Order: sequence, then C-alpha cells, then structure tokens
Amino acid sequence: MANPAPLRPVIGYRPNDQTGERWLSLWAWGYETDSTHTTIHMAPTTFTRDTTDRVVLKMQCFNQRVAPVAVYESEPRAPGQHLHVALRDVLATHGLRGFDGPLQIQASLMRDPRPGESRAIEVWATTYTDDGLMSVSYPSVGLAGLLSRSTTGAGIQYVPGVVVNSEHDSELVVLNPYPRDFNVAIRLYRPSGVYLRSPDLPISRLSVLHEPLAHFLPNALDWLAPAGGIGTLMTETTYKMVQYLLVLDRRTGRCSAMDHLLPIYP
Amino acid sequence: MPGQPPADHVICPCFNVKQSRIIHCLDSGGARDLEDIRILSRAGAGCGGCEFEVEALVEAFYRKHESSGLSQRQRTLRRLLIANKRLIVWNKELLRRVRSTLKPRPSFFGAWWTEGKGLHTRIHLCNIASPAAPKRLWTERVTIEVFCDQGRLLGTDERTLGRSESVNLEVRDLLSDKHFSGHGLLRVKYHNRRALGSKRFYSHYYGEQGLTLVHEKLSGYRKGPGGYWTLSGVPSASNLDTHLIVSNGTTSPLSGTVTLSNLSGVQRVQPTDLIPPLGTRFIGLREMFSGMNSFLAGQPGTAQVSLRRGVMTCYVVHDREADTWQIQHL
Repeated sequence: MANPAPLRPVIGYRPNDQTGERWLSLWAWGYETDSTHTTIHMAPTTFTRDTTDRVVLKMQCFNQRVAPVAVYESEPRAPGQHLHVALRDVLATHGLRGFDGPLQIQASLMRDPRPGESRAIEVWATTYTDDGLMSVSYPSVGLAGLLSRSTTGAGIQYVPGVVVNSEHDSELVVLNPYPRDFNVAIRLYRPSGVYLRSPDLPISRLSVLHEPLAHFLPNALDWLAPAGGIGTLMTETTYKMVQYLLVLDRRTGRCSAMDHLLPIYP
Repeated sequence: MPGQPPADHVICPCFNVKQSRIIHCLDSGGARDLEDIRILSRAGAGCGGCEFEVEALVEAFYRKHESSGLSQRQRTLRRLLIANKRLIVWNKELLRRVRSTLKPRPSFFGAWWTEGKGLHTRIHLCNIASPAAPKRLWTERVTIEVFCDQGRLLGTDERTLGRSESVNLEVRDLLSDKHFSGHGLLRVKYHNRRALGSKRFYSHYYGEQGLTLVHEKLSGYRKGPGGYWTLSGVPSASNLDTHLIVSNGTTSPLSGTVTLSNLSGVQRVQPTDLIPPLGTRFIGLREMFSGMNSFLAGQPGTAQVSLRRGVMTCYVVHDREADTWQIQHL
C-alpha cells in the first residue's frame, strides 16, 4: 500500500488476548439470505494421544461491530466427533435472518495446550443456494499459526489463472477480521508481466467485501482480452486478510468454483 | 533395586534423550532450567510429557550443587559459560537457516489432470514478483511432467518464465498422444526455490458445462510424517456424487484407508487400492461405501483419508442433474 501501515490491531481477536485462549482462530465467510445458506463443518483434530480430552467449539458472527451479533458454543466434545452447524439456526436463536460477514471459529481443549498442539480444528464451509446455482465448499483460513496448511502468510496474495472473459466472471471475497477499516487493492497481470492496478478500496472493520473484479477495475474484461481472458490476480491489503475467489458462469449464473488465494511470503 | 528405574534410562522418548545426557547438560553444559535443557538436549521439546521429570532432575542437581557451596567467582564463571554455550547453539542454528535459504533447491507441485469425456485441463503457471521485494525474483526454469493413472510418463515440457511472466498450458498439448483419454498426476518442478513464494499454479477443468478451478498441492511432496486429510462436509444429496482423487508422488507403491463418519459419530473404514508410484486413483465414495445415503441420513458426512507421505489429494463433486463438476483440494 502507498501509506505506511499503522499498528496492527489485535484487540480481542487473536489467541492470548482478552479471552486468554491459546488456540488458533480460523475465519470463514458466513453468507445467509432468504435463498442462500451456509453450513459450517467442524472437525476437532488435536495433536494428542489422550482420547479423554474434550474440545469446545465456539463460533462468533461479526457484522462491522466489535461485539459479535451471534455466538454459538458447543457442548464439550471428544476429538474426532464432528459437528455441522447451519448458520441459519445460529442466527435464528439471536432473532436474525440475514448475515454477510466474517465468522470466527475457535476450538479449545479443556486444559492448557502442550508444545506442538497448535491446531485443534479443521473447518470447512459450504455455501449453497436453493435454486442449485451455487454449491461450493471451501476451507477456513487462520491468520496465524504454525503447522496449518490453510494459513495466510502475507498481505499480498494472488491467483494465477484468474478468468474474466465473455463466458466467465470472477468475484473476489475479502474478509476483514480486524476492528478497524482498511483498504484493499488489486493488480491484474497479463501473461507478459504488465499489470493494471486498481485504486485502494475501503473495507469496513469486521466485514466482508465481495465484488466482481470489474468493481475494482472497470476495464478488466478488455485488459485481459488479448490473453484470452486469463491472467494473474494479485491483491494487496495492509495486513493479512482471508480471501477467496469465486468463478461465475455469465450465461447460466452458476457459481462453478471457489478457492482461497495463495500467499506470497516476502 | 527392584522397582527402581535403571541409572541411565530414557527420560524423553520423543527424542530419545537419556538421563546421563541431561546430567551432562547440567554439569558441563551449564543448563539452569528446563528451557536450557530443551535447547541443549531437546528433552521436553516434543510432547512435553517428560517436563516434570526433567524439572525434578534439574531441581535435584542444583539442590546437591548448592549444598556443595560454590564461591561467588565460581558462580559468575558458570553463568558466563552458560551464556557462551547458548550463544554457540543459537549461532549454529542461525548459520543453518541462512545456508538453507541460500542453497538453490527445486520445489515440486502436483495437480490432477483429466482429458476426455468432454472435460479438459489447463494449467496457469506464473513467476510473479512480490511488490514488497521485487528484486528477489529471477528468470525461472520450469519442468512439467504428465503421468497417467498407472504412473507412466505421457509427456513432458520445459519452459522458462521471466520476471512476473505467466503461461497457460493445455494438458493435451503436452501429451505425446494428443487423443489420449484419461487422468493422472501432473507434476511441476520449479528449479530454483530460492526466490519468493510466488511460484505456484492453478488448474482449470473446463468443458461444455463450465469451468472449475483449484490451486495445486505442494504438501504431498514434502518429507514428513504420515498424511491425514479431512473432508468435513461430504454432501448427502442424491444428485451429488463425491469422488476422492489420490495421487502418489513417491517412488514406491502406497495404500491406505478412507473413513466415512456420520453425524452420530459412527465410522465406516475402507482400504484403498494399491496406488503405483506416480499413479492416481479416482475413488467414488458412493461406490466405496455402499448404502451411503442411508448411512448419512440426509446430513453432511466427514471423510478422512489416511495415507503415508507423498500423496496429493483433492475431491470432486459431480452434480448428476446439471452435469457440472466442482473440484476442491484437501
């Protein structure tokens, strides 16, 4: 980003802060409307040999406010005992119907972790629509951690092979898990290495920005046309943010793919 | 004496550290506490189960030591010795890390490819510089190898990518037999891993019904302990078929198990076929677990793949009504 980064805000959203929890938080996108639903699949997988351990799973739904709008907490469960939570049910207990924001999922053992027990949960989310045009599963992502393969490494992430042409469109989903507003900008590379950079776009605290690439770069379609509509997308954010890419079929409106971006380690 | 442990028994089974080694660290190495013991001998750095025993040894050693009565000068010398020893250990570790980053090493990535039945595969390779350190990137040589499901090499190609360049490759153009129909492992080798981590790729699977994409897998080619992959959300809808794709990136045959759990926690386990070196298996969960619909009872299930290292896994969900495919890595 053009300006020097302010101090990274961490109040209450990372392990060892206000809650005193020592386990990695995972973040996922929660999207619930009248026709679109999200189910969160949680599988506690601790690095322990003790089968008597018990795990508590906690999910918090944020919507631009520091306090969560909805919270779900499970009963203590044995490692390996899986859980599938419909976001609709969690919201209903708090009198809510719609939601579009980041979900923080934590699993904690009923005792202090030993060295090496850094990751305690595997979380996937499925977002689907009633009309069948969307049914995608994607992994949640941790903002810090040691051994997790789904850990973002940097504020710069990319997708080689992003598609924007007459048949397909791509949509970027950016989760801001911090209690402050930040900016996000994208670069769109042609295969030759030349790129187009978007202006910085604001993303509110504890919210999700999901827009087609044309929202960032209005001439993205023309820019990639000489390369057959396929290029490389790079996103720049002040701090690490969880990001996904959706591919939409322009003809049918079907969402045909969703995956997370890849981190670049500077 | 019966019931007593032998004089030099193993204290830390994780790193096979014996009691004599810990005493040596305390006596000659100058260790003062558990943290020092961890640095010098690695005892207590694994599961942590031996921490109490190590701490007891440290306490016993210093209790005995204090009763022997060292002078102030002796204690100062001992502290300096400790500091020096720790500095040497840290310097060695620093040197090892610096050397490992300077040494050019190739990195391998894997992806699944398929051709035929109206479905094609292309890959998009790039060599993108990071804006944070644009000079830490050079021209890159890339080797692409295509293997069939039995592990036989079907085609190979080599490309050179300049700084921030990328390239689209159709898999059928890489095959020596352009009309080959099948699937398997596609292996990409970036020859210089010294540069930044921008050398990765996405695979596109496309056909008449649309396009789906997923990033490659690199974990299958790391040396490490066994592999467990979890798919926590196996769809139970009757029109959705879930297939696991397991590729063997090693040079020896592999086999393992697939476990399917339902919401009640009931598990069913099935062994996989033997996967030949560099071969691939396309496993239909519905075929592997008969009566899967009734087993899951309309709720999402959880599949776990358990195999040795050197394995690349992803899964495909096929919508039979819309005839569309979606792929996702594990």
